[in-house]
Amino acid sequence: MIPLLALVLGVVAGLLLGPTAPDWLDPYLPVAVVAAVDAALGAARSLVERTFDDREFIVSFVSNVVIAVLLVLLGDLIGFGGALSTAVVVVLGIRIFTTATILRRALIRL
Amino acid sequence: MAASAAKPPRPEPAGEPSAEPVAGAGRDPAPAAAGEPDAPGPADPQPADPQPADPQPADEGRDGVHRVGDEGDPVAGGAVARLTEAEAGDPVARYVATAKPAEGEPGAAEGDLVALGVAAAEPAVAEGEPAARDEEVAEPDTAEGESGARDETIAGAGAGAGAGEAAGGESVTGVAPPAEPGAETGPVGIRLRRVVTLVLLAALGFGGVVAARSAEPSFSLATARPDELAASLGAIGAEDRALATKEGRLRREADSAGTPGASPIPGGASGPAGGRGAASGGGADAERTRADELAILAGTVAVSGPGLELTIRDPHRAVDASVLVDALQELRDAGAEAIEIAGVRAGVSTYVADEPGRGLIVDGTSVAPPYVLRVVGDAHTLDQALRIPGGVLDTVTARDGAQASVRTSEHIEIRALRPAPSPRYARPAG
Repeated sequence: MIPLLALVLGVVAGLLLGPTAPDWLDPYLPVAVVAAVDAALGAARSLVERTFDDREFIVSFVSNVVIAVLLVLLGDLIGFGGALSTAVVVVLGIRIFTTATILRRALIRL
Repeated sequence: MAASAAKPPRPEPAGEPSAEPVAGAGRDPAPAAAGEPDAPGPADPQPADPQPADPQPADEGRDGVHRVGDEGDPVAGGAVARLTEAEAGDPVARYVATAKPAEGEPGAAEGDLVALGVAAAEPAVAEGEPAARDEEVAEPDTAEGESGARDETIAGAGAGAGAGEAAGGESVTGVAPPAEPGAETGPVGIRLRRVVTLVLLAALGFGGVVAARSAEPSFSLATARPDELAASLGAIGAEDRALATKEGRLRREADSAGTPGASPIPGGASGPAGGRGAASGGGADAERTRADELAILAGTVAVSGPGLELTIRDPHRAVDASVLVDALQELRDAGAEAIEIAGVRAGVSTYVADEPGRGLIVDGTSVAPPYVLRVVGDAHTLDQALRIPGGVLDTVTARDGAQASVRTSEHIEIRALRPAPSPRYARPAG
């Protein structure tokens, strides 16, 4: 419940402060968000499975985001442009769906 | 780990039967998840060797060992810890020990997208887990002791990529089981982690909103495409004209209402002059001001003011009349109020023609390069107008050997005059 509140708090803060991302962040922010969503969903799943550990969550969250951003950065550097960010989003999307499926099964079973 | 050791008595009735199938289900997926780093090869021979030699309990113990070997780092922590419990001699502990890594494995495999086949084995695992976990939840201590196994599962679910890092940390803590709970799960550490978790979640929400916001089609001049800029410019121009028209109308209304004596002054372009006329109030003053404006327009008086000097050097006679006409038009567009081309004052009827072999003709006067254009107007605007990509300066530079230079100045004086126009036919109407 508290984690959900934190999430909502972040959303509300974003809505209220209404910041605009600096231009150089434009290609990376969406990918970072998707990676973070993936990590958060994974955490939700492990919560349901009662295997949640916040240290793990922190590590996976941060590394997910960093790696996703680095991949996109690499794509930019070696001339893939947005292609690599598409790849990252697709892979993360599949993972999110997989996790969501597990989550749904676990929840319905409980 | 001591906590884990305390657990077995509880799960005994429920945990034992449920753990077994899990262990069985878990064993299969591990090799099946070929994409995972676990090596099915070493996994098989290891239990195979000791199995015939050792009786049942030893076999269980080996099971733990084999897991340490085959899982690599992720499970190492939990498995080693469990192995020590298993050696304690409680058969239930062994069952749990084998069951936990088994859970960890599919967890990691699920995290790995490539190993889709493993997903088939998941339901069994999902079933087994809640059953096994229910007891653990009842006992908080147990939950702590199991963090090893949990870590793996989350590592798998959270980040296939991050699993490596996470695993590194785990194996270190896992190898030294007694040190782990005390050092890593102190109250401060737990609180800190919890806070960081919440902060990360808040950051996710925040970042999501920011990303959504920046994804909105916001119109930024810096990143706009040329056609968008042109459309925007057109819209601004239309708005500008509408405002100028409105200003002129309002000014005329103000003039006729406030200063009846003053003659109505055309609005729009002569805004400042109109203001002066209204302020002075005297009819004669307004007339004089208007006469001055017209004289400047017609080029019958010398003028001075801010502006710029454009010098076109053309050693090879490559600059023709069209270049100067373009320059003249560009300067007029940019708000030039008085222009002198190579010593000839430009007016409404100014023309430029080619004179082959010698230079150009401006209003009947032969001129030779370098051509110096002196312009009075807003220096910055004029300068920018000349520097537009593909504009006057670029055009001149593209000609053979021609060069153009611009010097802006606060004080440009134009002394060349035009003869006063004396219309023969046109008369003011009305």
